[in-house]
Amino acid sequence: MNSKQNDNINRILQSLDDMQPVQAPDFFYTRLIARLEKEQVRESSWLSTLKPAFVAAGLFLLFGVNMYMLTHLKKDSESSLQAPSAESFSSAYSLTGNSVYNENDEQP
Amino acid sequence: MPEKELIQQLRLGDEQAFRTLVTQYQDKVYHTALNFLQHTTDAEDIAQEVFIQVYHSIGQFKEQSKLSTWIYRITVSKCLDLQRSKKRKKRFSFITSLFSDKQELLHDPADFNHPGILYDQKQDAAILYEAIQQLPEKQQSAFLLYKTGQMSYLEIAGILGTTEPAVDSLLQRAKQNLRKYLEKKSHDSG
Repeated sequence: MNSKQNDNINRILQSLDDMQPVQAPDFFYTRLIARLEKEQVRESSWLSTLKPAFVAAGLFLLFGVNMYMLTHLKKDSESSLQAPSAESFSSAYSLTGNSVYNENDEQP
Repeated sequence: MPEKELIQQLRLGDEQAFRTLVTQYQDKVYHTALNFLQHTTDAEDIAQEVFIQVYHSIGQFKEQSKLSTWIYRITVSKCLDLQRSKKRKKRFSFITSLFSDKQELLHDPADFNHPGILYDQKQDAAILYEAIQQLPEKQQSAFLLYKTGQMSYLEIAGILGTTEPAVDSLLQRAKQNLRKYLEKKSHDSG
């Protein structure tokens, strides 16, 4: 790269060095307040669309789901807490009396 | 008004305190946004969004940094978000243009005229801004805050949530990358 190109690049890299501070546009505050008020109105109108009937129905549904989950979870935990008896375990896994590994059964 | 008192008044929703805050920071926030976005309307929009966020989240400000640092952090974050969304839109503008009636693509305004740059440096500054857009976000933020915001390493470190040596490293890498980009551009144009 020649020195002319190098000078050009240095000049470009320094082109922001003498920048003057920029001022916000006129009436910035007025426009800001207008936007803030508009957003608040939009928010409150969105909230007002939530009619009490819908809110009550939603809460009722939530309560119902909670109750259903609670009762079912309770049943499940109770049944899982009951220790299986030795008989039920052995019958479930076919470990009763006549096993193929029982030497006595194999004798004629 | 001292900063502590200003924050307290803002938390109470005092309108006069909000006006004081906006008056105190509007030029700095707008100046920063303009340098990141190079678009006057976008910069004003972002500046407004910054103050709206400050208004809504002043209660969550934990005073672990200066108020100015927090405001600049919001500004930088919002500018980068907008840049990302514009890049995404630009990437898909070609595809969407195929399916829409409007036969136009999204382009960056080529004739942006920065009001803070001297007339004889405008052309060089436009080339530099184009190069800055190619930098990774952290390098871009550090370079713009340092060059156009005249900030110290300590202030930049606070805004970017990093350390002073890390800021120094970001600036060195930014300068190297900018030089590389400009050399390539100069080489390509002959």
